[in-house]
Amino acid sequence: MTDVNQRDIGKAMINAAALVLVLSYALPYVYLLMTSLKPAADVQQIPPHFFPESISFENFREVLVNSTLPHAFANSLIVAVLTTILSLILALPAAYVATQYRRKLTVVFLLFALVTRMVPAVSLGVPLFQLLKSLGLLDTVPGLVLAHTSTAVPLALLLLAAFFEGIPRDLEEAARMDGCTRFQAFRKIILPVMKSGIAITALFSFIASWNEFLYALLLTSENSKTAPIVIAEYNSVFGLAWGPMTAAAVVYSLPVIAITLALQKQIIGGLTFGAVKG
Amino acid sequence: MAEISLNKINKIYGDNFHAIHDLTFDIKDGEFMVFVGPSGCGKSTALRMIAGLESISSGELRIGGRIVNDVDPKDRDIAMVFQSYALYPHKTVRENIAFPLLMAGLDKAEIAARVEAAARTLELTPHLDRKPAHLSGGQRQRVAMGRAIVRQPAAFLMDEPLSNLDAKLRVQMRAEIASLQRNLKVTTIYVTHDQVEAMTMGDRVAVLKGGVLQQVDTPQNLYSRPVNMFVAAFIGSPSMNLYEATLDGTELKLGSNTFNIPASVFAQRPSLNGAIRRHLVVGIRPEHMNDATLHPASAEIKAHVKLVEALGSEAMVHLVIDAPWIDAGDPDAASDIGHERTAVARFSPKSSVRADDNARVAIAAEELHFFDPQTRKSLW
Amino acid sequence: MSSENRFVLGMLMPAALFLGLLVAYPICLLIYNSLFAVKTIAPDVREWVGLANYVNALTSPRIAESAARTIKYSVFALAFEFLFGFCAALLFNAIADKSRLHRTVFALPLMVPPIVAGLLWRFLLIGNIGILNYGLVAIGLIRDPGDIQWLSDQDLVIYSVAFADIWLTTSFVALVSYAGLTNIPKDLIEAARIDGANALRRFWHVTLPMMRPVIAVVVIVRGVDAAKTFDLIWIQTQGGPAHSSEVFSMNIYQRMVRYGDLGSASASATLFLFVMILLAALAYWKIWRSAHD
Repeated sequence: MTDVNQRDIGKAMINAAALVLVLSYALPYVYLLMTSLKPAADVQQIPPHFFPESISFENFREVLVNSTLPHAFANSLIVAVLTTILSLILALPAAYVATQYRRKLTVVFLLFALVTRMVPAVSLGVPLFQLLKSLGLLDTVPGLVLAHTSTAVPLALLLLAAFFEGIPRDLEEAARMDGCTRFQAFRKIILPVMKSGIAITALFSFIASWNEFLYALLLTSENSKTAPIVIAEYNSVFGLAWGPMTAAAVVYSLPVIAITLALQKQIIGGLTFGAVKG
Repeated sequence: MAEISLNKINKIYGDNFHAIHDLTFDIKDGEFMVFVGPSGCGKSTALRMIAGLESISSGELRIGGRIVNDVDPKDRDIAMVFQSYALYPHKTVRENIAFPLLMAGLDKAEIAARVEAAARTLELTPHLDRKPAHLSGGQRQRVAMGRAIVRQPAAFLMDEPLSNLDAKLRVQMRAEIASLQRNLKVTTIYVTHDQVEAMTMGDRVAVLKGGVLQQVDTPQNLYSRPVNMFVAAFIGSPSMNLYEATLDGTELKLGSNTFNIPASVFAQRPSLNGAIRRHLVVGIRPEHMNDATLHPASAEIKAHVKLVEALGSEAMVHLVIDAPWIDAGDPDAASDIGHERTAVARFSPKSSVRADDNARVAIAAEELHFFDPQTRKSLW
Repeated sequence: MSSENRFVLGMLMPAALFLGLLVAYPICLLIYNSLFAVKTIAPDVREWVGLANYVNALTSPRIAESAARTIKYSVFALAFEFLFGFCAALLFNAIADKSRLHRTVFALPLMVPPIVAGLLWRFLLIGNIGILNYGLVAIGLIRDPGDIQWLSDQDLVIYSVAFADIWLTTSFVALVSYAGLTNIPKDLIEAARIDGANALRRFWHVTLPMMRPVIAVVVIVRGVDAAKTFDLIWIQTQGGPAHSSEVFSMNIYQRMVRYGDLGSASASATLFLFVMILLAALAYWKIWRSAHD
């Protein structure tokens, strides 16, 4: 009997520990939410209160109506969507042949993509600035899309390669026996089979672009500033305007969190799939 | 429908691995040809070259008289059934079967009619709107067949199509495929590593080893007139037992045993006539040995019983014979127990021999095979 | 060329050309810039100085300090991410099927934009309104909220700014480790149990070795990312106070953009790039490869 009791106690302790861990990780973000809902005057009260004493949308009105943030959100959205599309168009065929037609050339190519993942953005920022300037694309949406795609493509390649790895070679061969060219087999059979892998990769590319900061900081100035840049400017310009800043942070992060929670299973699947399979 | 002809086909991979050597033979229109051999013998490579999935390094491949070396698989008018079935997981059974017709550009009504007909033949009609994931192994196999027959191609290529089924289903599908092929009369090449499948299904069987064609012949001829030790050992289960022996006149010395070879053997194999202490390899099939106490025969040897496997209908008796054992080169054929090479004999179940007995073994001497120890070829 | 090779090349080409133009070419440009004395505002006026920028980069104390800080930051962040993440994975694995909700909530920080994480943690830590210190007072760890100046103490700040990083990416480590743990065949653990190994020994002799590839991936991916960190620290301190949270990437940024010293910053950036690639390659060979042999 004591044996059973000890086991139960052990289980309860593990459950409690897991709960504490999870709560302590959720708490900071909950505090951000709470703060954004406080009246601006209460945000910086001393000592701080975790929960708002009265709920107010003052901070949200401030950032959504009286600022350049909505425009920046629009920029972020356009850039992220275009980056996602472009990086998929480039990465899908390449990742496919890199895994299904393994040879020296494709191995070298994947290694190059892997190396590209390691390159610090700060190293490429200024040369990219020079390149975009010579192309006349500085401070434009297409310019930033190109820059973001240069980081999204290697990411997409490695993720997609892990997904393509799981597709048997037979499938393409069967399609070719059934009357397809190699490219038709890829388009009509392989891509539909890869649907969920493509969706996850698209999401990761989207988030990579949505979250990106340094290239946006270097390559945009007036017209094509994205949300993180504008939020960061809040940070320095109104050093003490914590209220609007928390509201902006919530607005900026909620869509991504919502998508993540909605597609959590697939995302974590994709994340760990790529990582664990190495 | 078409005849397929291979003329000195070679496959050499980039790293100089010579997978197929000078493969040459013809498959007649409507014939059921089986490629058989141990794993790595090149049978699948040969099939994939005929399919167009593997390039041909040299030689000439003709399908229906047309040279197709550089023709895309889609333009060769052949259908293939894969070992894994390679069903399209996102398509229903109906869409799977219809896909080749869709690619061929047939009109909708024609496609629907032909899919229905194929489904009826294969008893798939109730499953037409399911996805492959919801089908049993046997049903998936039928869908793969359906995708091949619906096109009415010049030839079927099948790459170990039954190896993913359980033993019982395999026997059933074996018969179904064979009868389907006989009804459709479409030239068929069927690859398998299972010599029982090869023997029961094929009109003719091509035995390959190490990328070299050993023999193409009817199943019966492969069994009774194998061209060399490899074919002799590969065809038949359990394998033929091979031992070094000496032939002196009509007297065969097998280790410490001596017995006479009947005249019928010399009539069949004239090259053995007048042998004077000739060293050769003798091959004895398990079914040609029996318990001499129950079935006395003119030829008899003594052997030590290592193990008896009683199967009910017969008993597999593993025997140590005191003559040098010969390896046929078939990795699956060797039987050894405790590092001692043994011969396998198929005794009647009434036999009372036990492990560790010294048994008297009757030999059907008129059924023996003889090979040259150097060339490993049959002596005729 | 065979039709197969043509197909491979055709499929590979768009991505290869794109990466060539937007990654390989800028890298060449970077290396080229690093060999000149050249200002960011006037990149056409340049004077060849050979390897002088590299000599300068390797001898400048401020650059060396920022490099050391990057290592401190990365090791600190990685160690805690690993500790927390691995423990979380073990806990989730222990409660197995009941861990779904836990994992969902735990995954939350995963997709919080780094900028937001930085802001949030600045808000939690900053001066007299940072709620963390009030929490520490409440549980009796410190006496006064002003006792620890997380973001203005020059010796502490480089570790304080890592909190955001740890918060943000522990879930990545946890989820990847969890997937790795669930991939370990159950009968392996059971076999060890039958062989008489206690929980600790089972962990040490079975679980840990089986997790090697996962650990390798985490160390490589997270280590490189931590060393590259820019936005997270930028938003919290902009490298201050008095450069005391200026990591290597920020040092390069400051010299390139604020001081406009393109040539010398490019030399550091080139070194940074090759060190990152080298480290990743080393980690790959040492951990991942040997785990797969």
